[in-house]
Amino acid sequence: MKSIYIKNYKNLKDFKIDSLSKINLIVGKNNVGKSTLLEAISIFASGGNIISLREILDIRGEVYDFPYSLEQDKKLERHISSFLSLISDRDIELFIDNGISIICDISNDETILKKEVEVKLVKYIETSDSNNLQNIKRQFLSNEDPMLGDPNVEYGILVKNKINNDFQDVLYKLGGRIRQLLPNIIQKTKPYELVRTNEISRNKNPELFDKISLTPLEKEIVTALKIIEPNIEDINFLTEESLSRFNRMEERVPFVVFPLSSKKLRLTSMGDGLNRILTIILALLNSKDGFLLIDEFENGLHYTVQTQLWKIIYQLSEKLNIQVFATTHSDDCIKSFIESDTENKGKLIRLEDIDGDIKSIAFNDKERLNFAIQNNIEVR
Amino acid sequence: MKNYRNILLVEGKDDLHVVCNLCKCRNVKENFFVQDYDSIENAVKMFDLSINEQSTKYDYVGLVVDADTNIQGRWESIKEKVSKSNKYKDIPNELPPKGLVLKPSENYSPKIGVWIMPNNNTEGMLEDFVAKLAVDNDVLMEEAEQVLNSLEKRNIQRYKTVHRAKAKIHSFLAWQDEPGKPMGQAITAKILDPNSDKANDFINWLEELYQ
Repeated sequence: MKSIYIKNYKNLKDFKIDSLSKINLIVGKNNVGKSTLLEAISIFASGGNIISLREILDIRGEVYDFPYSLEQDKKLERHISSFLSLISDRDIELFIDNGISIICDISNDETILKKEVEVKLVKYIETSDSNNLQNIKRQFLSNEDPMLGDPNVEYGILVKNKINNDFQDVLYKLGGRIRQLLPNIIQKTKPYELVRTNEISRNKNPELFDKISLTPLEKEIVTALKIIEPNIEDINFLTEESLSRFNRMEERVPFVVFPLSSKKLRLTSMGDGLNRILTIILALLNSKDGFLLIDEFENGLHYTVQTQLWKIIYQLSEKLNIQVFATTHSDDCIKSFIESDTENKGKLIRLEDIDGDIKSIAFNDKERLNFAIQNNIEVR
Repeated sequence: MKNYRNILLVEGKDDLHVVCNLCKCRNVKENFFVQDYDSIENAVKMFDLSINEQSTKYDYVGLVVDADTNIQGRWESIKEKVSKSNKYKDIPNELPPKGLVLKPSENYSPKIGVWIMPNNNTEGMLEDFVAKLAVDNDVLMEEAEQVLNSLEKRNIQRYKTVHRAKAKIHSFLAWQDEPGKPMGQAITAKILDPNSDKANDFINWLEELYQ
């Protein structure tokens, strides 16, 4: 995407970045909205898919699961409360009237393309034809509608995907099992992988590994792990029984081997840095033609490791056509990011809270950014 | 890197020491941080960054550079940067003789000030400004002038014409009690008079910018 414009998503009420690069490093104070920005990009990439919305709610502990026996109204209340965490100021009227909007310029060399993903809370009444029960009519109600008192009013999340003048809508019903109602249209979405702050993805990594296993990309995993352990020869995921007494599950766990030894070593016993690299590289290799989102890039990584990892990311993102968005608090991370940017594909963007509004300030000129770094100017 | 919100950007270490010592002697409130950049290009680059990408990080930003041989050219290049930031209105075509102080037209950008040595409207450099701090008709300052003239008559001087002011002030300082004091220290030692009227405009400019 060349630019992004976000409205009403959490603290990003009216936020835009006019010009994005291939690799974007986002800095800014705590709580300014760096992770929120990554979330918004993931929503955009997935076209507002309920699964990605759920993933975001999960991360923030705003899950909407509940015991089966809970009453209907309470279920609905919990669902609404959960989704309200996404709209700015938890403003339910804003959610219904305007909703969350993410607009990106995804033009390529041939055409101008603008895509918008909109997520709204909706109230509606369903009526079906008494002769033909398949024929369902849905009437959406606004905040002032006199029919609001009707006991048949339902609540849902309406997701709109708009590309230039092409619309696609999906409606998910709330209060009970969240079901997709509007026709099952396949939205033009992009692949993305979101690597969270402290993530060592025990569940996801085996799946991601399987997707590239036995392809030429598989060897890139060992190349990346060699940054920390130059002698690692190979890696694979092996099945182990979970050690939990209550839950005899099988888990697939990463193991590595070294030359001159037949011993297989559990990677998870070998230090956070290696596991963090594994998570990042697996995410990278699985986001071809899409987006790679990394929150707090520097976690668990020495600055020398960061430099080499950035080099790999620059290389592979070029080869696999991936746009990268990473956040950081670290000076070292910024330095290694700049050092590795030999072809001017990277951009540093700072988020700032200006009087309650979150704005972006980009270092559009590499030379100016280099000057700032060399003179120890605080760009974060 | 320190987190000062009020900064004064100067060309080099000499400028830094002169400004700091002058301020101490004149009791200027020390609510700003002086930073030197080894060259005029870098000082101006930093000034540029501080009104653009880094504008939310500063409340007051001052810039002090030498006019050298072309005062108008020097001001033009700085004026262009101020204008390009789109945050300041009413930028004058010529620098006011008492220095420039400008408030931003939007919030969260710094108030800025520009002073071009020696006095905002002639060629010259820091050393010309400093020389004016000597007592009027100081016999050694006049003698220094004579010596330089004598060298130049015989064409045996090794300094470039543009650096004449440096040759003069350092000659003057070589003949004082405790010879060879640098300019900053000479100010504190009252060899050069910090309370001279000739420094008033500069001090006033600083106070107007940083209050």
